[in-house]
Amino acid sequence: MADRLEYLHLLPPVTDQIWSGHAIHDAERDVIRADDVSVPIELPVFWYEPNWIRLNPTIADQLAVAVANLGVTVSALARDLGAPEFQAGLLCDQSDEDSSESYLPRMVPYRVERYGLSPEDFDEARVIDVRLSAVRNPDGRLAYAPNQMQRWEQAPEESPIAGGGYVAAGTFPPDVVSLQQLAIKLSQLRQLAPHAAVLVSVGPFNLEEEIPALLASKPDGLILRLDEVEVQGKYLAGAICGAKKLLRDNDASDLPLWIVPGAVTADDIAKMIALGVSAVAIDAWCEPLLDAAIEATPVSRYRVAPTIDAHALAAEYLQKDLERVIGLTSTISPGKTPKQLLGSFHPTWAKLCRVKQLH
Amino acid sequence: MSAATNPDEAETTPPNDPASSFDKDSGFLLSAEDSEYKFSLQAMDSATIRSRIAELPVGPNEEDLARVELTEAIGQHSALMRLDHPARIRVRGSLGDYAFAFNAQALSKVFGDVGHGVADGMISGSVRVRGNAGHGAGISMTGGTLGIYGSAGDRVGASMRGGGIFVRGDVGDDVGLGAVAGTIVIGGDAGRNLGDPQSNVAVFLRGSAASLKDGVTEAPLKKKQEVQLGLILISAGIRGNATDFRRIVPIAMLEAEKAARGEVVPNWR
Repeated sequence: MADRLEYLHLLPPVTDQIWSGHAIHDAERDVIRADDVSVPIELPVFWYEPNWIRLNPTIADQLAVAVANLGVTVSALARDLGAPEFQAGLLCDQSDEDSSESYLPRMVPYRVERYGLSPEDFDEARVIDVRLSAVRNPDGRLAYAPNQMQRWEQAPEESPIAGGGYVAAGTFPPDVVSLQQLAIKLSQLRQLAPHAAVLVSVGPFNLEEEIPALLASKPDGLILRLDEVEVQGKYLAGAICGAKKLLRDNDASDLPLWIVPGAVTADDIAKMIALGVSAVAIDAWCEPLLDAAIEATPVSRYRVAPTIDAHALAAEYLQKDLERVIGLTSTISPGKTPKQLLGSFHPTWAKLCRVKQLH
Repeated sequence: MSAATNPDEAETTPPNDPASSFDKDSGFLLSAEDSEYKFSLQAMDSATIRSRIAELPVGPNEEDLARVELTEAIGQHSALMRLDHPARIRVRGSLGDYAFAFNAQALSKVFGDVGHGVADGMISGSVRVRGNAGHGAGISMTGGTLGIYGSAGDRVGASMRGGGIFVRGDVGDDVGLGAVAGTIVIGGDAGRNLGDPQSNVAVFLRGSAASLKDGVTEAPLKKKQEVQLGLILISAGIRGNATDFRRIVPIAMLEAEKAARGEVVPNWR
């Protein structure tokens, strides 16, 4: 696919300086929690909404482990991956002689209704994604499918959840009285998940009202779900710049901003990071990988746990793009402004994103 | 079936007095000398208290459980979360929001009020509160028992997935919102939008509801449910007759029952 931010260009080092060698910056960034705990994020990319229900639970777990092994923060509940029937590998201690990191980067979707959530989900999680509103399922419903509820809640087959029908998604957490009281909820989650950054995710529709209100609850970062609307690149860039401006206006310019943009390229991701974004969802890259995993899943007449070569599949589908993200972001100096990092030959884009006007 | 059988008690204890019910049921805990372990919620943080409780000895049966007294409860938020050890715990004073989240095994009593989201995600054991609870009591529970001997706010048992909630007094709006399994017993009145048309949760109401949610209706208890509710009332130490209650049930489920299909075809939707 073509770059969505095609009119933005990463600027090379200026040529009128003496040769000092261009620094190669590490892609890893820390999120600093409100209580000053530092949470390492290996790569500035994450898999936000994997459709795990399409996969056999053990295959889902193998795929989650393989993708997380590449440094991508993967969103999953233990029950998405077959727990407690199976020991979910994504939640296990991975330490061995060659590895210094014990646990793979994992994000917990803390949904309004918390169906499927178990306390073990908090253990060693890297990110808690506090969702304040419902997200449409792949069918477009604001509801959970019967097979999804079955996997999460593991009800007896003779008495399925909700009589075997769809279960409506909630619109706001039932134990949060107001956005003002949300600070106590976020503090609770920091205690439940002492190694995780607690991020709050919002849709793109009421940012001017919601962002200032959310900042009062002192989240460790925001996740902006821009995939809820199909927009052209210019509007995507405009939404990001608008959100950054709202953060600046509310004295939160350094607050991590994670973006769920829909389909993007590796170059788009680097440009978004240059615009001040901290991490970008790569669901559009992972969907074909999920399809490939389904195709590779062996069919057996016997009740044996299937296996696939998930690491090879993940590398085949993601490695090249991730390498380009790592390469491009290695040239982006932390602390520099978009105007120092980006330029555009297009006057509208240059003005919209406040980047250097190129001639 | 009646939970209160002793006429002498009826004379000495005012009827429908939730505090006296709670204290009677908690008699063995009322003496401070009974407590083997005492911790201060002001002097120790929740993680330390949790780890100290996790180290307590476990007896062979429920009567032998270690007794813990927690003092200086002055409305601390997120207190006593993720307890996962068999022990009898009493809390002197009131707790703030999200107390006892994800409680498992521990049997706790609070001699005061609690804030919002008490017993959020509880798995097993019990939490009993002498006073009132804020909004969202027992949300997303998967097991165990939550007893509120005062009144509770809105959204009691929202997105509940199992276990039981008993509220001796009144409850607010949207009780049982998004709940998919479990039991909710309301001893007093309920606010608006009681019940959930997509839910398997059993809601029993003694008083009246300001309104029911679309797609649910009131129905008399079945014999099996009278027995079930009677046992709940006895275990909660609450006097009352199960036949005083009605159940709040999805219309679709009731119609399936009437057609004698409920037991055979559980996919009532």
